[in-house]
Amino acid sequence: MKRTMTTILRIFRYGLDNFRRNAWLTTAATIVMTITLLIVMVTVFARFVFSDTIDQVRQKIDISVYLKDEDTPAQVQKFIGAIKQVPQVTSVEYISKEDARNVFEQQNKTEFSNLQALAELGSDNPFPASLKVKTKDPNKLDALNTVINNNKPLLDDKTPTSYSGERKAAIDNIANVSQFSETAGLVAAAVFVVISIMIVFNTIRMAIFNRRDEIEMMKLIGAEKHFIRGPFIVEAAMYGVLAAIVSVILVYAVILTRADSLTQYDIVVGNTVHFFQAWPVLIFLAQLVVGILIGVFSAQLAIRRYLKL
Amino acid sequence: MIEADCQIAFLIYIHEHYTATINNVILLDRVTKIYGKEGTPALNRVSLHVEPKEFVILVGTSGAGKSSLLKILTREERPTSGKIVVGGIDYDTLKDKNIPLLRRKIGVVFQDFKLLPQRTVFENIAFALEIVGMTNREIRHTVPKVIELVGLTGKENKFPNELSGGEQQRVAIARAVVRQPKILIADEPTGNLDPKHSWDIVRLLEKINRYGTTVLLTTHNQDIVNKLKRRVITIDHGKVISDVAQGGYNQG
Repeated sequence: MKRTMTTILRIFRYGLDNFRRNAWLTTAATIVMTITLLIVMVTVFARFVFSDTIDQVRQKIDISVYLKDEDTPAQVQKFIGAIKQVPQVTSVEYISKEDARNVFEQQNKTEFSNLQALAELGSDNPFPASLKVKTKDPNKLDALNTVINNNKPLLDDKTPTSYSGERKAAIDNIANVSQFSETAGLVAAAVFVVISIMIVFNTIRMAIFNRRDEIEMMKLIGAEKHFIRGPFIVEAAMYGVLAAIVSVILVYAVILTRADSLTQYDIVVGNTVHFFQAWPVLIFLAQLVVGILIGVFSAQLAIRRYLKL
Repeated sequence: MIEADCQIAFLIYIHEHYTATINNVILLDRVTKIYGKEGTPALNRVSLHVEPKEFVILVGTSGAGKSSLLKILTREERPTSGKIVVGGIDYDTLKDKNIPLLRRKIGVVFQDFKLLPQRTVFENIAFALEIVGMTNREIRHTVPKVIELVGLTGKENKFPNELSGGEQQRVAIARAVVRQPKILIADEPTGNLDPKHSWDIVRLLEKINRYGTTVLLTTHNQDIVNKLKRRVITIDHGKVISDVAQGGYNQG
């Protein structure tokens, strides 16, 4: 047992020795690995940010269904009941004619000409009563539309049902951008993972080549296979460890110094920033695992190919 | 028929020697090595046995088959046919994963020393113990003794490039014997050394032999062969052409 421990510790020590001795090659491998880990982290980060943003904007979208002045309260109540039956609907709010007028007045406080036009109308209220419907997902309105169409006689002829047109376009835009950046991020991450694997592979290949005499000697004096291979794997894993440390430091440097200005942007960075602030150890461990996996995998490839024992 | 008789005689021989002394004996029975599919054999039915604690010199020109023989003994190469038993290990039943165990029983010294340039004298010797999982305490206890045996006390912390060729070869010998192998194979250990240092190395090998280690030395150095008055086995064209108890370079 003690001997096994001694052997494992020695494999680590040799690996670390080699890591230090190979300083130049090591630097290149570590830098590429760091970039890879950063891209992976930014991709995940961006995903969080976008999905948060979209969720938040989606909650603001609502659908206004305008009603005829002649509709009786009973009819309206029945209509509201039908809308509430739709699973996608989260809330229905009845806006009376008076409410609508008040809202208009509020919104046009500074638009004097509009207010004057309204005043000229006297007690005549041109605004139709309406139902403000909020849904979970503005892209899934089929069921709601069916209900609305079934109650067509109740709807105001002059004012068509409004889907908050501009907002919907904006949301679609954000969704597209987020989809695109998510795909782009994944592609970039994949590309850089492959580049990392290639560079680490090559670094270990060079290390095996540089140390072929040592390997030969170890073989001849009776070192077991895992004792010869182990240090190369430790060495490659070290690139991952170092890269994880560097990338986490960089990301936290940005987050800690820029968090305030980031949260001021229109996009909702707050949640993500908070997540990063709350779980530094978890994020570091995740980076560590990804880095070590890339390193060990590449080293295994190189060893299988170039370290014949 | 004769083949079969030889086989039986060989088995009886092994059996007789097994209990007492097999651990430091080298036995080869009609060992043949052919590289590639067809071609002239590098070793052609070589049979020999080396007794425990013997000091044997193996001579032969380049390409005579010496290197093949040593590589077969250290299991870097497999024979095409023939039986080999070294230090009680039968190569026919030796599994690949046990090759390191075989190599730990045999100390090997090379013409080009094969020292690790980034490690000190002490570390180079300790390396042989580290790979077998010996604890640091045992290593600190053992290595200085071997350094004293090879006469390098005071140079523990030097690096190989700070030493002369002869001193480097002493480090290599120390590394080979630090695990107290029963058999020491020295492959042209004086090949890169001047006569004075060559003799230092040979005297050191004799000293190790006196402590009970079987030594198998290959050399081109006629002077050493003639003056040592040891058993000399001459190989030529893959065959043992002479095996003389107190031989000289040009005998047989």
